[in-house]
Amino acid sequence: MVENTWPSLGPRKYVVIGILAALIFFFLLSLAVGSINIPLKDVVKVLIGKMPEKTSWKRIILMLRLPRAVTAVLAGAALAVSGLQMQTLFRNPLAGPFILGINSGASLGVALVVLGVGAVGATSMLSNLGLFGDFGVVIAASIGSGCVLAIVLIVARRVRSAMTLLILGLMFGYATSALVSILLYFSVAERIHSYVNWTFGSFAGVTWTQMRILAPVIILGLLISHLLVKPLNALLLGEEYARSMGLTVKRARFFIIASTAILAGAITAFCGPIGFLGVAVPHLCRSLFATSDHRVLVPTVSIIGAILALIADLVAQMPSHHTVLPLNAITSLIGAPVVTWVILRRRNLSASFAS
Amino acid sequence: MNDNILVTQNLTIGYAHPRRSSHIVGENISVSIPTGELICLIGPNGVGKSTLIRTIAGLQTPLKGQVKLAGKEVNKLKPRELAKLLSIVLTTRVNAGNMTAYGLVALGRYPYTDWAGKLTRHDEEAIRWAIKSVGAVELAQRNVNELSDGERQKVMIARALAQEPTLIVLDEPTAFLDLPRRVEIMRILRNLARTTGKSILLSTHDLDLALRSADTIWLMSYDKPLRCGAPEDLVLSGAFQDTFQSEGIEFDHQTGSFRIHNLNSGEIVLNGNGIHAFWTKRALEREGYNVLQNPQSISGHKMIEIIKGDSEVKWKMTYNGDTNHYNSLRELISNLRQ
Repeated sequence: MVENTWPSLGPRKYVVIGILAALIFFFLLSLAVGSINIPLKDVVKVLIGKMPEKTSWKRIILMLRLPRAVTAVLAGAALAVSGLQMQTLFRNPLAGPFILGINSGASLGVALVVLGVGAVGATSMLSNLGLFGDFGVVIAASIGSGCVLAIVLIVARRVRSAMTLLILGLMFGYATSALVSILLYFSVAERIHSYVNWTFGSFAGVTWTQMRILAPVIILGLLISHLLVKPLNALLLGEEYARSMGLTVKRARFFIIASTAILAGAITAFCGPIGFLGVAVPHLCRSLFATSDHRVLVPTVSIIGAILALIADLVAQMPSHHTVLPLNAITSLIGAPVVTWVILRRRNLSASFAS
Repeated sequence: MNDNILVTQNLTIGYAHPRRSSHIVGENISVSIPTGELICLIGPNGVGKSTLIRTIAGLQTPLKGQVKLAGKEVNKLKPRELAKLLSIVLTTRVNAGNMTAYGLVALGRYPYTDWAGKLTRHDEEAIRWAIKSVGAVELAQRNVNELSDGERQKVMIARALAQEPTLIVLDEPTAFLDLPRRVEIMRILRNLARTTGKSILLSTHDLDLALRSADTIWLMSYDKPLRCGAPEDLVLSGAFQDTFQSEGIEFDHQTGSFRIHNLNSGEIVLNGNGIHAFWTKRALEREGYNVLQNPQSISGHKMIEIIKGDSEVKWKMTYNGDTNHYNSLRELISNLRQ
C-alpha cells in the first residue's frame, strides 16, 4: 500500500482563500453601490484613510454604508453558524438558528414594547418611534431572547434527549406568537406597522455606538463555535457514539446552545428576525465542499453566510434606486432557488440526514 | 483470574422510573471478561441483552451493583478516560453525512486529539492500522453513505479499534447482514481478539456462529440466572436446549443447530452416504419425516436410494414393491406429498 493513497482530512487551503477573496469583493461592492454609486477605487481610498474625489462620499461610506456592511457580515456569519450547529445537534436538516424559540422570545419582547406600551396608554411617549426605536427595541429583543436562552439552557441541562428541546422550542414559538397576535389585535395601525417593519429585518439600523456591543458579542459567539468543531464532529454519529468517544454530551450541548443563542439572539435584537440564511447556508456548504467535517464547515459556513448576507443587502438596497426592499423577502427570494439548485444537483441532502 | 479486564459484581440491570418502581431486567449478574477473549452474549429476544451491553458500556447506569473496568467503576470514570478503555459499535445504522470511511474511522481518535481534533502522526498510524486490521483499505476513500451495510459495519469496527480501547463492546453488530457478511465480521472480530489481545464482547442472535467463534458464551434466559462457559460446555450441559426450548423448535445437541418440527409424516429409510445423502436427509426432514439412515434391516417403510451415475444423480424410491426414479429432490418430495 502506497502511503499517499490515504485521504487527507481538513480544509483545503485554496478553497478558503477563494471564498475569502469573494467576501472582500462583495464587502467592497456593498460599500460602492447604493442610491449613489461610488467608484471602487474611491471606496478603497476612504478605507485606507485618504480623501476620495468627493468629500460627501467619505461620510456616506463611513457613517452609513460601512456599519451596514459590517453588520451584514456579522449577521450572515452568526446566523449561518448557529444554523449549522442546530442542524448537527438535532440531526435535522430543517433546524435553524431560531429552532429553540430565540426569535419568538425576541419578537415577544419587541411586541410588548412597540405594541403593549401603546395599549397601556403612553402613546405620546412613543409617538416618535425613532427616539425610542433604536435602543428600546434592541433592549426589548435582547431581554426577550435572553429569557428564552435562560429557559432553554436550564432545560438542556436536565433532559437526556435533544429531541425534547426541539419540541419545547417549537411549543414556545407557538405560545409566543399567540401572545403577539393578541397584542397585534388590540393595537393601532401605526404600531402594527412599526412592529411589522421590525419583522422585515434590516442591517441598516446599527450605528457605530451599537456596533460596540454587537461586534464583540458576535465575535465571542463565533469564537465559541470555532472551539466546538470537535464536539460537533463527534455528534455526527449521534449522542451515544459521541458519549462513547469521550464527549461529555450535556456540557457540549450546553455550549452549542449557548453560542447559538448568543449569536442568533444578538442578531435578532439588532437586525430583526432574519430568516433563511441560517437554514440554507449550511446545506449550501455541505454540498459545495462535499463534507460534513465541522473543521471545514464552521469557517466556510461563516464566510459564505457573510457573503450571502452582503448580496441580499445589496439587492435589497436596489442600486441606483431610492427604494429599500424588506431584507427578509430578499434573503429567501434569491436564496431559495440557489440552494434548491445546488442541493438537487448534488442529491446528498437525504444521505446526510435520513434517519 | 487476575487478567480480567472487566468484572461485574451483583449487577442489577433495568430502567429506573422516578415515580414508579424500577423495571428490573436482570439481577445478580456477576461475570468477568478476561483479556484477549471473544465473548458472545446470546439469549432470546427481550431477555435483556441490549440492556446488559449498554450497562457494561456505561451508556446506562446499573440499578444495583457495579461494573468495574480495569479496576475502576465504569459510571464514575470521566467520559474521556472511559473512551480510552472501551469503545462501542451499535446496531443502529449511523448516518454520518458527507464523510469518507477514513474520516469516520478518524473520529475514533477523539479521546486522544487536541481541541480542534488535529491528528498527529501517531493518530494517523492508529487509523491506518485499524482500517487494515478489518480489511477495509479499499473502502477508505469511499463516502460512508455509499457503503453497503456490511462494509459500513466493518468501518464502524475499525472506528472502535482506532479508539485503542482494551475492550470493544458490540450490540448485535451482525443484525442486518447476510450470512457471508456475518461470517466475515465474526472472523474479523475473532482475529482481532487473538492478534491484538483486546477483549471483545458482542451480543448476537446467530447461535451457530457464536458457538463456532466465541471463547466464552454468556447465555441469558428469562427465568434462570446468566450462565457462562465455553460454548461446547454449555451445549453438553443442556443449557442451550432449555434456553431456546419452545414449541416447534428444538436445539439439536448432535449438530449444534436448530431443528424445526413440522408435521409428523412417519419414518422413512434412506440408503446412501456423502453430500447427496446429507441434503436428501435435510429435504426429508423438512417434509416431517423421521429419517432412518442406512439401517441394518427394515421392512414396510418407504425406502430412498441415491444412485450416482457418471454425470448425474438420481433418487430411487421403493415402496410396497413399486419403484420410481426421480431426477431431482423436488420431484421426489412432490411425489412423496401425494
